[in-house]
Amino acid sequence: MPTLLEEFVGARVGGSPYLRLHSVTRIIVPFLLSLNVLFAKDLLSVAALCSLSFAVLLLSGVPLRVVRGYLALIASVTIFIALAFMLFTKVPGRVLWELQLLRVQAERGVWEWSIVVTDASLLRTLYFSLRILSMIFIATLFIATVGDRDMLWGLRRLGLPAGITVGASLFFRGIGFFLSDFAVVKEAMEARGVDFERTGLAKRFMLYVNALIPLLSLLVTRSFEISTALETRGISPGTRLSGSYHSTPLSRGDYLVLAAICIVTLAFAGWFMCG
Amino acid sequence: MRVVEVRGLKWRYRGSRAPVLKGVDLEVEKGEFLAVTGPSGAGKTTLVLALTGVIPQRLPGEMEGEVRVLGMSTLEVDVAEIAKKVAVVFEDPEIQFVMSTVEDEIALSLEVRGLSREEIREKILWALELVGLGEEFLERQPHQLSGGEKQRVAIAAAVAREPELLILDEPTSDLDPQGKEEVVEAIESVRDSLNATVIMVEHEPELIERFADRLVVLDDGVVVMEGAPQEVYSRVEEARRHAAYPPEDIELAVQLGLKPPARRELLELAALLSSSLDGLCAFPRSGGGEVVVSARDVWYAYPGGVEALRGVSLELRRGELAALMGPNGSGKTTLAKVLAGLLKSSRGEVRVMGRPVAEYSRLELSSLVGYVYQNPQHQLFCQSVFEEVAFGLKLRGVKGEELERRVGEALRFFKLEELRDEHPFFLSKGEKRRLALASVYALRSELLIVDEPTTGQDRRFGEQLMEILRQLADSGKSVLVITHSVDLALKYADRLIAMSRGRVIADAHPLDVLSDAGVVREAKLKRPLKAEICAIAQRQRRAQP
Amino acid sequence: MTEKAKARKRVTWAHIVTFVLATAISYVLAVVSSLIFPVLGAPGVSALYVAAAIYVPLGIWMGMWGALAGYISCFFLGLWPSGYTLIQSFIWSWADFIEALAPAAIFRLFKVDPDFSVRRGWAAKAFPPLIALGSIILLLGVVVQVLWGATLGEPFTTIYVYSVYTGLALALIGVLLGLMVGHRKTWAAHIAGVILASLLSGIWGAGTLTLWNLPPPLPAELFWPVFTGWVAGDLIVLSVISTALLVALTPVFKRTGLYVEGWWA
Repeated sequence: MPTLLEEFVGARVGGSPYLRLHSVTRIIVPFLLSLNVLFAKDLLSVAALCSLSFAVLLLSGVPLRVVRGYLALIASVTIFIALAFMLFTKVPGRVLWELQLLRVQAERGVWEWSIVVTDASLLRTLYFSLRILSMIFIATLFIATVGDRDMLWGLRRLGLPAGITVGASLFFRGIGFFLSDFAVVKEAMEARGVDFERTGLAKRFMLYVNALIPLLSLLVTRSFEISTALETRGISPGTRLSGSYHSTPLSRGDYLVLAAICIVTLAFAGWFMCG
Repeated sequence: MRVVEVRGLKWRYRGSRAPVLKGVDLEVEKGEFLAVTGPSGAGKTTLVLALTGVIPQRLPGEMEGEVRVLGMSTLEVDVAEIAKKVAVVFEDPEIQFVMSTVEDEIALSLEVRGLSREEIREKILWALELVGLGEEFLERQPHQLSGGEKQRVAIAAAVAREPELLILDEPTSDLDPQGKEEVVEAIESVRDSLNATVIMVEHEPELIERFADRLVVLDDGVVVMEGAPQEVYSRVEEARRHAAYPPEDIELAVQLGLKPPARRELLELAALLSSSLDGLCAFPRSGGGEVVVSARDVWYAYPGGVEALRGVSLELRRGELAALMGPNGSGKTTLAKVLAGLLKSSRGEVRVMGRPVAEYSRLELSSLVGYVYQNPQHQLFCQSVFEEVAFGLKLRGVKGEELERRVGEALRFFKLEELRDEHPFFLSKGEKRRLALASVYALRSELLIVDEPTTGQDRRFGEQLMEILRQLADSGKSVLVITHSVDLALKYADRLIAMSRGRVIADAHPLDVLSDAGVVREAKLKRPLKAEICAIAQRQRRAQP
Repeated sequence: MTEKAKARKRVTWAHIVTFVLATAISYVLAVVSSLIFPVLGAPGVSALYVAAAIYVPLGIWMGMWGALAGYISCFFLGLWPSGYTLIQSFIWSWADFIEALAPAAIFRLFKVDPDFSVRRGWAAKAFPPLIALGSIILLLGVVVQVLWGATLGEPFTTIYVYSVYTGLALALIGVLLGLMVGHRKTWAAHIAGVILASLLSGIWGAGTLTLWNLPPPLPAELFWPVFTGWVAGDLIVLSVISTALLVALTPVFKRTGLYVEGWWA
């Protein structure tokens, strides 16, 4: 069964023992790992969390090229965070480098805008960057190992009504509808003479508005057709559908993994409280 | 026992100008297979929705009359209750698939019943087998299925519930010939195995004749004809007036002044009556004028590596109406888009008016080659009919009186003047399609490419549309129509271009192409009886000294 | 026996399916916007968040459904490709919920029956850039005053004063032109909705990214740049794209019966 990542970008996760775990386990592990982001308050703990998340990601069989795709994002985030600490504020510490950009003699003082690099600002940049990196690893773990079917059956097992469970399924179908419709609509506009590449940004912006009109019209048409089809199947939004068809018990491996992640989370929590 | 009782049913949708159903009376007996036919807009789907209780319980509007299904009044019993005994399969296979796999899709209908896992599994497998799909389909996702397979899954989901009344609303309309065949076999299997009453809304007379015990013709919101299919179709003129086109053999027999005999007898007669068939076998044969678009050894491969076109060469000329046909996946739409410059060929050359396609800007090219998509909603960008037609013209800097004049001309040609201020969303399917054509026509393209304009439409609409395209060709334009309708191609086209697996396998007059059994087989074309008869007559004449 | 029957007002599949499909569209547009028009360093934040043009009008047409569409699309955006954790995304996404809720609330609380028909096309084209620009200048002036003017005085207070005058003037002209477009009550509610939605969602969005969350993904120092970028982007998207969609599609939602007078049905 394809995972969310496979549906979004076509990246297939290789077979690994992690993927054979119960869907409940595969949802809980990233959730608990994400709780640890709360507890990682210094460089050491965040580095530990980052390493742990990366390790779990590797063990789950997620191809590293997926993470490579995030490199640009991580780089820009790091730069932005660095600027935050060096450009928008001064973090007290040993000044390593300073450059004054602007100096204004104001009525009640001097306003200086400088880039100030201190050892503390570098450490804080590193801390935030590692934390973002951990979050990216954890989020990737979730979408690379959980499929829409896992989520849907999970919602079923919670006893939620059809309005939510079937609706959730339609969300993923809807993404597919929209992507294919958008491609056709864009092409249809080109067939009428619109040249997206050679149009200025402002005009292109307005042309995308023209594209949204048929897309939303199609949305309304489809929604009537789908809802009619659902009504005639005897499923009303409040119907509770059984989740038992696909329910399977947790295995020993699931219990082991869940126990391990709980211990790790408790350890981080303890570190946070005592450290 | 009466399964369906409809008395004086009237229904007007909220926001509609007039009622869609204007007093329908209908009865269906248990075990009967009833077919309902009629022109687009007659109210067939509305009637279906009224039988399920969706009208009036879920759709806003005004209803009069009474509908009872299996003893339940659709005014008093909730839709969900009615749906326990009534199952519906709609026209569009795409919108009926709400879950992510085939298994989940069929299971959805069964889970409300409180069945055990084993029972659900058993019913899923039984239903799949009934429609000719195996266990390997359980894990398949919608995008991995063809149109025919999706529709069969929809039928499986419906029959898995073992309904007492099964309603099929144009189950084959949106499908290519292969898909149609698959679904027809599934219906055959279901009819034989399921002890249910069936109501099938359908346009294809051959299917109606094959399955139905009784035929009801609906037109303009009322039942206008009713009886056994043979009986209804034998009243040919009246049936045609209500867009209930008889099967080919009956129609041809009446045209030749014969009593409706079997197909075989007509074919035997064809050899004897070769000279009398001149009127029947007069087809347009335009030589065509100046070359508008030419393709030389064109290849195209999609990013995944799938080769959609493999060395295609052809020319499209002024004054010519060419039909492009072939099974799904043969490369028809890809070829059309390459000719329109919407896709860039990986090899080979495409020229428009003698110049390579790459030399044109998007605006220039779209002024020469107009493309009309299968679903007109994909290309309706504005909020009024007038604005829609004006859209392309405004892009080209046309304004003021000139704009008014050209838009007016297009609206008149396509009979849309009265709807000029209407929002395109609220037009009927046919009006939307005419609007899409009008908005491209206004640009005065030399070549008009129309992608499957008749799919999902009744034959009357198909003929009207082809008449318009024929007029355009006769006025000097070049027209290329992608279609699955061999009858319409035979009647209106000068050329039939048959494709298979990315290649053009035949390009000649429709009659000549359809006479070639090998081509017909490879391109998965349905050879009309008329074509067979005329081909026989032609061979006879040629054989005579 | 004849009977006139009308459908009862209740939540139906039509509401749910429309909401779900709109959420799917919003999510895809959210991803595309955050990748094409990013605010560098703030994952998921887009200088031109086109997704808002879907769920904010949906809020006006369908009440809570629009707000939920905003929430869910943002929630999934937070997970991928922004890389926020489930908890952070859960908190952050209320920004888009609020963004759709504000205009929806204005229309419902003041009992405005939306009529977006355009009687003066020139006014319809002129008012969005004026309101957007005026509001942005005003906002920048306020930010300057808050950050520097209050403590350091001149020349920041002068910048603030001129920004306020200019911004207000432009915005006011924009509002007056907006009221001339057509049905006054509708356009007044819409303009108020656009401004309120942008401000409130900016506060929550930027705040939960930098100041409060479990934990905030970005440093607190980034609040003002993120807030300003967020509000400016929203003002542009809502005043230009949302307006166009409301004009084009309100008749569709009303005539098809999808329009929700209340909050749910």
